[in-house]
Amino acid sequence: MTLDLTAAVWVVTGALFALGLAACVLRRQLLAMLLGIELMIAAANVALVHHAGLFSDAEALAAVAIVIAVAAAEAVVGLSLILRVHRMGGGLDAGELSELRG
Amino acid sequence: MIPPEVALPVKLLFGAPTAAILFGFFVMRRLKPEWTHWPILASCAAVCASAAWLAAFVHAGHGFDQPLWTWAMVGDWGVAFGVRLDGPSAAVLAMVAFVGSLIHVYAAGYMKGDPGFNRFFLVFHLFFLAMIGLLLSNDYVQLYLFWELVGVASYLLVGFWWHKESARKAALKAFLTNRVGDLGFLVSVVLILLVFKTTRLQLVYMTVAGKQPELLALIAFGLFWAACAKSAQWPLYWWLPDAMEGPTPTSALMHAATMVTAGVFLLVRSWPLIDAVPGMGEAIAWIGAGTALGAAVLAGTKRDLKQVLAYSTVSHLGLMMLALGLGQVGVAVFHLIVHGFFKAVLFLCAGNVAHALHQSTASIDQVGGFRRAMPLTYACFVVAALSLAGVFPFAGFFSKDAILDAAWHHGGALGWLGMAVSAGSAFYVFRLLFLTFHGARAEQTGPAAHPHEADAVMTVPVVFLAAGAAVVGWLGPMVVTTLSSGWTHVPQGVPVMPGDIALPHVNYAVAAMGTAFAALGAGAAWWLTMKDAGWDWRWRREAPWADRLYASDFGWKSLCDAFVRGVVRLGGFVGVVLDKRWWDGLLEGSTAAARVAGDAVERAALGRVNDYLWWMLAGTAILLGRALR
Amino acid sequence: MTPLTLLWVLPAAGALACGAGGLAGRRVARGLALLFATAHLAATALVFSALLKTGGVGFYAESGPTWAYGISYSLAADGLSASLIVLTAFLTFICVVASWELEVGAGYWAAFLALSSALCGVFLARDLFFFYAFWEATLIPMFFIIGLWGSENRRKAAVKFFLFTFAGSVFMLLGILALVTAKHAAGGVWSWDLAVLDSAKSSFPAWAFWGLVAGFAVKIPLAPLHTWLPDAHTEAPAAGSVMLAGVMLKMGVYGLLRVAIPLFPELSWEALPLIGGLAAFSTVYGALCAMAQGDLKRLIAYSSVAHLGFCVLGAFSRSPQGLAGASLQMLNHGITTGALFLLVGFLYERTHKRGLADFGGLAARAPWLTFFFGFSTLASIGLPGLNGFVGEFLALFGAATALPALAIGGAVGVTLAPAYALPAFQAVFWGPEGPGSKSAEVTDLTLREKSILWTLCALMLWIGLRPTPWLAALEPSLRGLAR
Repeated sequence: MTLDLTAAVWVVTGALFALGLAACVLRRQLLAMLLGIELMIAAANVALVHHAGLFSDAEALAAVAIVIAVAAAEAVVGLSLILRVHRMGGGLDAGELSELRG
Repeated sequence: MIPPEVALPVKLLFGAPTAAILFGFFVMRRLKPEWTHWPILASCAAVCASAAWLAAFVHAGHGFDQPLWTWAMVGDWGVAFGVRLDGPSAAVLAMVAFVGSLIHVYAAGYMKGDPGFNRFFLVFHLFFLAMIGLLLSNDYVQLYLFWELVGVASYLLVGFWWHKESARKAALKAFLTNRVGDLGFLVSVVLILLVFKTTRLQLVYMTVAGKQPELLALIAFGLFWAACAKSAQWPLYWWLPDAMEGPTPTSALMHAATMVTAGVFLLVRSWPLIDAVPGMGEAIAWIGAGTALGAAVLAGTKRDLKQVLAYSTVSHLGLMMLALGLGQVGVAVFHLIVHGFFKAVLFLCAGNVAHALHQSTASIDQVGGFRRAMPLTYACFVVAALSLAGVFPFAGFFSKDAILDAAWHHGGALGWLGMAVSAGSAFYVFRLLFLTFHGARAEQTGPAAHPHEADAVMTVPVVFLAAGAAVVGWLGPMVVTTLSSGWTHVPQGVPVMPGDIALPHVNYAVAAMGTAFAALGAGAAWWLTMKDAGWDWRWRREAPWADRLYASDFGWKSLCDAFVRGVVRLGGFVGVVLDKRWWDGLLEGSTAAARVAGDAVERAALGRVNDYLWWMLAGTAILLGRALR
Repeated sequence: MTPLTLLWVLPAAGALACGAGGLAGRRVARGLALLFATAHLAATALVFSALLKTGGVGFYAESGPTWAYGISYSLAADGLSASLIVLTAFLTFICVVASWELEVGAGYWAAFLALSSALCGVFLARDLFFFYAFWEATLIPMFFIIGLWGSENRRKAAVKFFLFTFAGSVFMLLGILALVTAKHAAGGVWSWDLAVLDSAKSSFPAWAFWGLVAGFAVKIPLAPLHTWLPDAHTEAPAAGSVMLAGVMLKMGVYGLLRVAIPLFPELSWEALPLIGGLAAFSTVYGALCAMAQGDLKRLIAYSSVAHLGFCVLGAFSRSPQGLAGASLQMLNHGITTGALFLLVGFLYERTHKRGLADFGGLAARAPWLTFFFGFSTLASIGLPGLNGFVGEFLALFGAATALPALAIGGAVGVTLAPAYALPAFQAVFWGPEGPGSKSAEVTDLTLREKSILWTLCALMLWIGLRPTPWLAALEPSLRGLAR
């Protein structure tokens, strides 16, 4: 039974992570890419919570809390950067932002 | 310790010229440049007195070799400079001091009014000082130091009238050719250090036996190569005829006393080394004899007074080499001394003639019949010419006869070569005498230029020198006594000053033959200048190929010129094409290569975040794959 | 602060002071530069005289704290390094005096003092980490000296200089890292200290030696790696050329003597035919290249390649004479070439030209300039009695004891020296004035300029006639390097 639950969690989180990754890699819309990142973080968090319970490990739960905090910070920074780019007239297409190109 | 009775003259020999030069540079140049010669002439007087004192000291059988101060010292090895006084140094020093001082006096008149009067005298005296130092050196490194100093001083003097292109070229030629010779000296000194662990002459003399013959041969060859440059022997003689571009006193000093005698002196100094190499003496004798004959022939074809005399010097240095190579070192030194006198007279007389024409040198086209206008100069010239041609009882007779005798006894072609040189010498010097002072011929501008006898300051020294050129041959026994004494600390059996010909030595058969050949040469000169007065101009017109042949010194000059051009072109190729264009171009081109590579990589980096994410994904996959395996 | 630390901190402080003084005006900065350069020279002279009292063997002044990976602050001075430090301070002082009338800002003076500080650091450091740090630090002020105060093509020359020497020192860094890791692998101890590394000689990989030599050879520069030098010299301001030729090139030879040869005694002996051959080749190649130059500074730059060849020849001969000759030749070259660069600089200040064809007949217009230029030229071509000969002769002798063929190659180089130096001298001072000649604008040297050159020429004569005390100061520190 427990094995089944673990397998289910892996399937769900794996799908969730794959979706997030796909959003990041395939989409060029900045907001969509940010959402993709959030999805990947969420997937990792779910897996962590499940395994924390499985091994009764409090440190893992603490890590989850930190990840949530970091994700929130990341969202704030990311969104504000996107907003800044948008205001500067850069649009929201990652393909257009190629100033790094040598 | 320097023996206390000669400490003062030794100090004076170095101290007086140094003080005079420094005083002239720092004081006279500002206050009274036209009086620069006074302290220097005072120094000359001191040098003469000291040299005479030292010569008497050595003649009495004394000598010393004293290191005075350490020049360089590293670890267990050091070079000490000092003073060595023995037969050759005392004898040659006496001649150099006397002849050189008289030329200084002459120069005071000759250079009067020249804007560079101060500069001339300072460098001139430096030249003199360098030669004195060279003669008194007791160590090869010290000898090399003064040897180079002689070279630099001659460079500055030959190039003294630097606004003339010919003077600049001649100065450069003189210095660079000598530098090529110095390569041999430098290598020899280094090898001497390697083989003997010391460069002190005396220690080298004592330990020469039993050293590696190959290295000894290399050392002897290097020294001879250096002597070939300084003493103007084939193959390096070609700078000397050009070096007359300097003021005449320079030429006189250079040819008679200071510069060209240094090479012969070096070989005299190194005789034990040369003697230890089988065949070396023979080779020196042959090169000397060949140079002597070639230069004697060429001297008979040259048109410039000083140039004739320059080739004559080359010829006589060849005779010295001949004597030296045959082992008659004493005879070589004796001829060196005698030659110093008559060659100085000849140059100074030529200078007087040129001075009368207000030129730095004179061509045979511009002279003729100067006998009446310049009687004193004429008389001196005659004495010196007789001495040079080897006519009894003038000085040249004794030294030349000894050389001819040595060559004759050696046998074979060398004896006949010597006789031919004897005839050639008489020919060119009498040709010069007749063309300059007798005549004038139709081709010559002659005395129309109103020549006049020079001032006393320019004739009296010449008279003294001419007196020397007449009588110094009778001093032969004195010279021989001097030469063979003063060899302290040299063990028996070391051939320092060999030669079995006692001086004055008259082998009647050889003397008669030599005189006959000289008479032949003189007679030919008389015939071709007086009897058939236009001959000198005619053959040039009729046989331009011969003129070209002689002008290029039988082609050797052209060969040297080609070599020099080759080196310059090599420098141009290496410096401009190879180094700058090819090699540096290649290295600078490497930045272009980096740019091409960068452009290639740039295509993969378009700056799109999604692309980078794909890369990241791929990387993560690889890492995961490796971690899980 | 210990005296040795002071030796590199003092000019660094001077550089800061000049920067700050620049706010108060150019003249203040200039005065501060002179003050600090003088103080630094006095300090080096004091240290050097203290060193002479110990017999030239050397003394450790400071072994500071040890940090991560065994990096430690340790300085030392012996005859070899102290003589170069005195040379650095002396030439810096000369440069400040020689540049006195230039219209330059505080940055110029600060750059020279900073350069002096970094150079002293290189010669003092006994910890390879600091050695490398100081080594690279010298590039920064020199980069600005060339790039900001140079002549027309200064930008390109500065970048070329930086890239070339930096690329060289990458190899050196790799070599140093190899030494340190090899020491750690062999003994489990991290250390960058030369004295400690010395004990692990046998464990060093051979390629580390070649890395070090490559780095040093670019700096020296040995013949095929020299092409940065003519450009850098030509474009640098006169004082910059003096420091570049006078001291910076010596870092390479110093590195050989201090690091490469002591740590690889066998390998460096085996490498003699190759490196000594390159050195002999440099002497001939530099001379041939110099013969073709029409620019005085380029000509002197190529002559430096030839002269530094003798240093390497002497150093790798590993005989007492060769080593002493090499280290003395470093000082000689600093003095002589320094004088020549200054003289060309004085010409350039007056006319903004430095080509051979731009002048002629200066001997009549500027006798003092002629005198000093001729004197320095003679010293440079190795006239016995002046300084150049001593170093060259000892190096040749050393080479002869090791491999006589090398000595003959070097002697050919000596022979060729006047073939480029004298025609150049003649063209400028004796030759005819061509069209567009700038000779008319040349005035003779001022008192300030003459004083500088009297000092330098007196040194040339002194070392040439009496090299023994100089050799005695250098020799003890080189004793350990001899075969």
